Amino acid sequence: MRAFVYDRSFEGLLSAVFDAYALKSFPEILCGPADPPLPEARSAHRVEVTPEKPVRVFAALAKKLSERGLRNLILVWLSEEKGSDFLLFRFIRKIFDAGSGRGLPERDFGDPDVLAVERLARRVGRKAERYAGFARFQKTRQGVYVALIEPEHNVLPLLLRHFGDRFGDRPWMLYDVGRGYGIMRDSGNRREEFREVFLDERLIEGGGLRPDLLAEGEELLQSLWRGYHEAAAVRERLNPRLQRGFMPKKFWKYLTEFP
Amino acid sequence: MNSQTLAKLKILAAAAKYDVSCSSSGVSRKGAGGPGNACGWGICHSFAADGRCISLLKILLSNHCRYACAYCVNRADNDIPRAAFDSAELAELTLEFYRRNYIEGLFLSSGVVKSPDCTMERMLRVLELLREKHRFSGYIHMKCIPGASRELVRRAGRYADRLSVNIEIPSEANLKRLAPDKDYSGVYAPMNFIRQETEQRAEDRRKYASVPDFAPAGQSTQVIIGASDERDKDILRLSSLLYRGPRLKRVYYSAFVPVGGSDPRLPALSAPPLRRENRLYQADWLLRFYHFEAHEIADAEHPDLDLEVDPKIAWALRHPEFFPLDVNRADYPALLRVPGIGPESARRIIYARRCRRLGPEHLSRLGVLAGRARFFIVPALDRTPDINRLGPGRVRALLLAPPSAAKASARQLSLLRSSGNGLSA
Ligand code: SF4
Repeated sequence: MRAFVYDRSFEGLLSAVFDAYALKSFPEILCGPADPPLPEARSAHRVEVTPEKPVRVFAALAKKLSERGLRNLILVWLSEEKGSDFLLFRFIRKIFDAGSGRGLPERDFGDPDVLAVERLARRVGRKAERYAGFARFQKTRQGVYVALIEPEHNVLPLLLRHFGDRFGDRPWMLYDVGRGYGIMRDSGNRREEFREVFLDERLIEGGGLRPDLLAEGEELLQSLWRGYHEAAAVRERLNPRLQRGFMPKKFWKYLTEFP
Repeated sequence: MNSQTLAKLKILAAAAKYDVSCSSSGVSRKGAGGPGNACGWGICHSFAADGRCISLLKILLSNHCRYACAYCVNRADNDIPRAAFDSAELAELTLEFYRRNYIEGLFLSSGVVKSPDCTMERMLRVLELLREKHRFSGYIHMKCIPGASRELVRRAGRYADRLSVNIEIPSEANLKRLAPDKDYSGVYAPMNFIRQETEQRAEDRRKYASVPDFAPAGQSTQVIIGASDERDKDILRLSSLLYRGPRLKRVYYSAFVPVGGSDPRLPALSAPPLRRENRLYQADWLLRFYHFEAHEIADAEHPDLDLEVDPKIAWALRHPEFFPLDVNRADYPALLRVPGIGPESARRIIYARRCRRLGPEHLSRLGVLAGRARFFIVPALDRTPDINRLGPGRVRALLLAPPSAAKASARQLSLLRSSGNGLSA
């Protein structure tokens, strides 16, 4: 069995594709540098990432895939699901090797890998949409709007444009508590300019920032929202199961409306 | 904003909660300098304890009302706490909620304070503040008060993404009976006017470079289900006319919730007809996305929707001659008629079969709900006999069987097949 060892980055994955075609030898397994050595791997190829390899592979893919197909690649990568890197590897290979038939290779849904990419991409896209609704921002003393999220997939990069448009010129930050990184846009910067930030855990309390960091009036605003949320339910139609179906409990920790 | 705001907010939110429209979809625009953008896909920000999506701050500017519509909590003769927002206060509240990502925007409605026009003026002040002063570019849905003047409706369309005029009671006779202060023309005149304005703008846009928007997300309405005696066929006919005539984007259905007092004009319901409401929404989907006509879903012979099965299954059971459908050949609208195949799986089928012939092994992976679709398609799934062999009655029973019984019935089916009693011949 042939293994490729790569650095677990997206550029690394594309470089692995590059190497495979250059060597005309395809891996049956992908490993990270820190993975324990596999006894059954007869040979391991170490993928070296150069600036050029990923660019060339991506350019080749851009010719073969629709915009949506390219986006699907990114979504599957961001899923961070186990085995999704090798799924992408197989998918890319199928795209490159496909003949010119009547249908689009990226939509050959009779093929299990093509279908798996489509389904996983949709799942991640839907999760990102959910966070577009469920992220709750709190205003800090400095006037920055900060939201904490803890998503299963790495959806944060998918939300930047959305919140960038939404906030206009105001400073804001979206923080992934589980992965321990966030993105911040300071005021005065151009709308597309973001910087990566890391928060000290001691600043976080429960599903939000520590109360003493919050702006004056923030407490009142949050209680208004809770009051609204409660008043909006029709008593004769109470249906907590339906509510949890749409908004599973795991989200509640970060939702202002559930104290 | 202060502690009184909370009390007002609770009263005015509770007063607005029966208006079901939650959708914030239908318009896509970038924030223009100020805060906000509106997305093409509606965003749900939360779900209330009744399971309904909260997307907009749905609120009445005032729940004082001089009218007395029998079905409404806010009717003049109902003894409830009343409150009203100051326009600046409500605009500010909207902004603060929006910035924290609680909501996608505002859905503003109101009781009729002095006259329809006076009420509309007050509502417009909130919209003006949001759009002109605060440069708010989030979503705004404004309800037009039946009977409001054209000029005010026109101004509303300048600021709002969506306008709505609620029909509430589907037939004119019943509307007169239950809402003596309103009449059909007060509802339909603004609706038609909104349509004319929208078309006029589209026309102008062809000629001039910049024409201001007019309610770019279109208009919607709501009908109350079960407060009066219209049948489902009447309601669906009305909806399909509204989708075609005034080109409504959405018709919402709201199960009647008895709102205090015992009015002899209203039916005594033990609970809101939620099942019926749900079936009407499903039927509405068939009208909008599945290429169905209203009369195919309910007609003189079947005036009400089947509460046990969804309207698509009900149609399929009435039309065995349409099946079984060959998924390798059928076109998109035909595929959509198969129970268990939706727009997404139908599209996948069409793409996938261009690359290869689809066998039973592909179908469930493509998102087809095998448990439903198996009676209606070839290639057969699990070698299930199709509806013409089993007969609609039997298929109905199998579809209604609870999951455990469904397993037993699958066993039964395989027995039927192996016993060679002609069913699978
Ligand atoms: S006019 Fe509107 S608020 Fe007033 S009673 Fe009728 S439905 Fe209710």
